[in-house]
Amino acid sequence: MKERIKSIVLAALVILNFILGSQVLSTKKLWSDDGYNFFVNFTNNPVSNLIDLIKNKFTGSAPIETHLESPEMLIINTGYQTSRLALSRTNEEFTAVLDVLNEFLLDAFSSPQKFFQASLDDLHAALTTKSVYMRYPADYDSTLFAYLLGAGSLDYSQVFFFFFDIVVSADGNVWVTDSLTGIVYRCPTAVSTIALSDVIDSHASENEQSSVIINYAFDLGFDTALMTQRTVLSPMIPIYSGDFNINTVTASNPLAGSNNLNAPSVTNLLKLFNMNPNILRRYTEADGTTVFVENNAILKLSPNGTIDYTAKSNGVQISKSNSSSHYDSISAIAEFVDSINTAVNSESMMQLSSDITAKQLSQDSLVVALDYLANGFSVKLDNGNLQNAVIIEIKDGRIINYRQLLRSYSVDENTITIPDYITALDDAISKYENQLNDIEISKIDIAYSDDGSDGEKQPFWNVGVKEIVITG
Amino acid sequence: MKSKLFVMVMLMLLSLTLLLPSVCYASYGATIPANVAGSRSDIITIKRPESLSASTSDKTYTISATGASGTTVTVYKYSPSENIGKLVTGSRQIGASGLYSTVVDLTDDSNTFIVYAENSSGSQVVRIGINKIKKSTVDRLKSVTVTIKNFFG
Repeated sequence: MKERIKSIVLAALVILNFILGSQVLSTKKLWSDDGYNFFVNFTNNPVSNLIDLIKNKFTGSAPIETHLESPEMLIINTGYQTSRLALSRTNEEFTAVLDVLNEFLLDAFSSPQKFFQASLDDLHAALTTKSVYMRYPADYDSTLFAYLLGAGSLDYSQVFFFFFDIVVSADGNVWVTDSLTGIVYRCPTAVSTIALSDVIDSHASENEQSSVIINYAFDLGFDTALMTQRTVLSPMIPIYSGDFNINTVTASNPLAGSNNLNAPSVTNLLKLFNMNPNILRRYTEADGTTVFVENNAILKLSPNGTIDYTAKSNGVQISKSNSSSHYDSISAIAEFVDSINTAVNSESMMQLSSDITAKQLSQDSLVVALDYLANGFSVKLDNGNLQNAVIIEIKDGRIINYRQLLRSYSVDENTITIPDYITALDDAISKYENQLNDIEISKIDIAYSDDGSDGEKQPFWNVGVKEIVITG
Repeated sequence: MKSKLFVMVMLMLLSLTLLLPSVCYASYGATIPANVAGSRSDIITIKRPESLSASTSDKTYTISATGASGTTVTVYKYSPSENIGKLVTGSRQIGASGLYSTVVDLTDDSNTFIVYAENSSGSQVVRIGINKIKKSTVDRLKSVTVTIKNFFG
């Protein structure tokens, strides 16, 4: 009897072994991108998922660092040139000041009818009194900007088209200059000005002994050409009177693991690009690039940190709505890029670097470029293949192309001296002095140069030229 | 002997003729005579203050100008008690951009600056007057402006 029971149990165990084994192989729950892994079951089980959910509830999700509607620089105009102060994204007060300003912007952009034409002199007067100047990294379509702010879908095409700077004056007015026509618009708001005045006054008293004076180009008359003046500056370019000491940064590739690619990072990326590790094919190219191929998409991960995703048909859906408009997609881009950066521990601070105009928004597909910010300054990336940190193409609310060079930046203790504005401009122009007749400068700001290699990156003056008239 | 003397005198005259302009346009050091005059008026264009005089309640003032590349600009502050101009900012050569700006401290209520510019074609002197007014006065003026604006509605 005992032997019979033993045989039955043994037979049952053998049968169970085959049943469970076949289930494991057919459902492939234990397969990850690295192959068969029994421990995947522990991380994928409902209890672990519940624990993760509770953990996220208490710790909160990762903050969104890529704010597409965020300015790259604020200048607090105290009413006195001596105490004007510039704030970049890394300044502690930046977010607090921006929160105060956003109330005015939201009120102003809640209706296109609230904007009236104003004179350039009035705008300049606002900048010489108590106000805050906000400079954006690129030209924004005004309708899109209102949408990103949360003002809703409002049509601004009958008022102004696009802009790259806004002024909020302490009397509650919001000033916008149309980049296309140069016309200045003013919008009175109903927001209380107490908080804004407090912000300006507190900075005025703190910055009274500032050694570097900030003048706008229009303050110094450099925005208008007289007699033989060859260089004309855009009126709102801030001109700093002295040298700067700026820290260098060290760049690294967060995707580089001890052997080849960092395995957990790869797993996270596959999830974000909706690629199922169970059904994709994987191979490695001669240069070490790992290629993941699915029926609808290809994802390439290079050892240098480049992500290259191409969808053949349906890409990754980022927009919640099925509307053909790009507005929803653009507001979702920041969240998607942040997810990528969080997943692979890449630099989390990014800003928009491509203009977004109404014409681009009306096209079938839309390409948006983003760049990293390191130590509060933009990083000009060029590794030969990519000239921006992220280039993303969207169609019908889905990502059809995505390229990113993953980077991490840490601020060094080492500082280097950046010359004053005019010296920097002289150096830049002197290279072409013999050929050019007239030059119009649209922008000049400090940026880091990164060729994609690891190691120290130095800051430099980045000069944006609007127009050059060449002799002959 | 006579001809030798004649040649020497002629050589001296020639060298004096050649050296005279450079002597005339030589840079001044730490001070400049109050009545200094330039030989030209088109070397630099003062952009700020546009009318060569201004009033401000700031502690400093930024003087700006444009000029040809290679022009050296020096700013002195006129001292009424000594009747001379004293150096406030070191000489700076205008670069390829043709732009020049310098920040000067406003230590007195009435400040006169002597901007001395020179290049191979000659020198130019521009006098700039900056009056410093009290912040309280400016605030009072601003409030009057606001009241008038409100009145006209």
